[in-house]
Amino acid sequence: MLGRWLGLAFTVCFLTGLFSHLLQDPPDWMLFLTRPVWLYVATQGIHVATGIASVPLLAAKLWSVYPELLRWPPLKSVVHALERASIALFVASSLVEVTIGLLNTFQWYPWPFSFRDVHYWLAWVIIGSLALHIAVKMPLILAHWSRRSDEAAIAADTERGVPAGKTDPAAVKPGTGHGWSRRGFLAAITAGTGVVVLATAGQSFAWLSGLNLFAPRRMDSGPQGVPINRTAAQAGVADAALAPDWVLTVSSGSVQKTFTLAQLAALPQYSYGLPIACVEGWSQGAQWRGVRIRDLMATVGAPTDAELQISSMEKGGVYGRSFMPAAYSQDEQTLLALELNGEPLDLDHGYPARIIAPGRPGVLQTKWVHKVEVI
Amino acid sequence: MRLPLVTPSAPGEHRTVWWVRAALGALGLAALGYAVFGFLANVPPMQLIGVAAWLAVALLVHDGVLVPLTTLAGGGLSRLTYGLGPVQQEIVRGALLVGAVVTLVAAPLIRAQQVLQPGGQGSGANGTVLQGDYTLALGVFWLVLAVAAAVVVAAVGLYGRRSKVRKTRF
Repeated sequence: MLGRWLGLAFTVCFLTGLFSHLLQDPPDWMLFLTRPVWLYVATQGIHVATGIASVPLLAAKLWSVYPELLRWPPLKSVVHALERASIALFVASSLVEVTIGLLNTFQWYPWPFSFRDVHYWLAWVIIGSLALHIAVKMPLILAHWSRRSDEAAIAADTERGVPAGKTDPAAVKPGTGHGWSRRGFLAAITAGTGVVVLATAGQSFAWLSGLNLFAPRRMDSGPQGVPINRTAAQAGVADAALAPDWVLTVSSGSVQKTFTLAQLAALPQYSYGLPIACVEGWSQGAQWRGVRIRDLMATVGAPTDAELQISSMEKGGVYGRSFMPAAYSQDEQTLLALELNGEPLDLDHGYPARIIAPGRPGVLQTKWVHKVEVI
Repeated sequence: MRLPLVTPSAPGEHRTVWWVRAALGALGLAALGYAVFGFLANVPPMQLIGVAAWLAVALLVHDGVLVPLTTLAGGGLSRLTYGLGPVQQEIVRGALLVGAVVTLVAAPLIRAQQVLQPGGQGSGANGTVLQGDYTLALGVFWLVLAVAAAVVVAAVGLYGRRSKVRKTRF
């Protein structure tokens, strides 16, 4: 029961995480979807929510199998030793993965390694260990299921069915001195999981924002009612962004043009309601207004299927440059935004100009843009 | 150890199970191999040592400290709630478990606030992260939980007594 829920949570978390990774680091075959515009809000919100759900589920699962850890003799054969080693790796990886994932949403990094790499590769350790674990335990799982169907058959004949004691988790077995019934334990874990998910998912989903007690982010907060991930001060761009001689350079091959802010504002402006959704799980809907990227690229005669490189005034790091595949550069809702919620962009939101595209991770919505080029 | 025996209802089903197991096992090993390759190719050796240390400490802290402590707490609870009926004991236990789970998720938030907020590590602290009063929220949550659990325990007690009375009457 717990194993099934935890396996499901881990699998969903893995798949949504993999999707996020592929969006940021796309292979050649990657299919980019720009609709629904809230696609990444959903996938990343679910990623963080299932990650948080797996905190109580993992704790409960490990608690229920804890007596297995103390079983004697500890090692019976080489195969047994290998199995126990693989379980130790599975458990340790799961604990670390869930912990660093949670702390990452706080922007807290108290560890001596790269979050992005380790979180990604540990995910492969976990999903591989999960598949292996299911393969090894399949007879047990099937026995459990067939026993349940036997129970169902018996229950159909008799009124009360058979006692559930046979399939209890190891730690709930009668006689181990614990005061839990199987049903009570599962109910409490379900309730706890529900509470932590509902009390945090409001950072990702507007309809839950009223219950947001324990998430690191609040909707509708920050300058212009939109949270930020990286301030202008953190990025060290304030002077360059506020400089009166700022111009945007647009280029395609040998054709190059520059635009002042006034010239950009004189181009046709479009306004769209688009969410910004961060890899850390928070998201925020907002009204963005600015120039369509495809209009901007047409001014330098760029081909319609142009792939773009966007450069920020922030130098280096993951935020310094972003790559924009044609699916986004062609989309009518992909803007070089100059305004947010009816006002010029706040400096922390990327003044004088930033990218906003439908269905992309926030880290790729480059702020403080100064160059857009066809590559 | 009780052997996990499958009762093969048909030889065909048995073979399917074998293939599914083999495929899952092979996929699992492939993913693990890919992960090992990924770690070695992308993570510098010093960082790998850090990862190994975190894995080891996670296992030690969880299996060596957290589980024994919660088990002890569970045993102590059984003594404290000795006078209550089994359903009431379960409610107290369940409420404490829910509270513990919420605390487990909220405590790192409070700690992160303490570590990251004062003075703002690095320049230009970001005011839109960790902005809630999580200590207050956690306190209120525990209070509401305690009151709710007490009300339910009392209600169960009353109901139980009334049904006992009814039993003696009829």
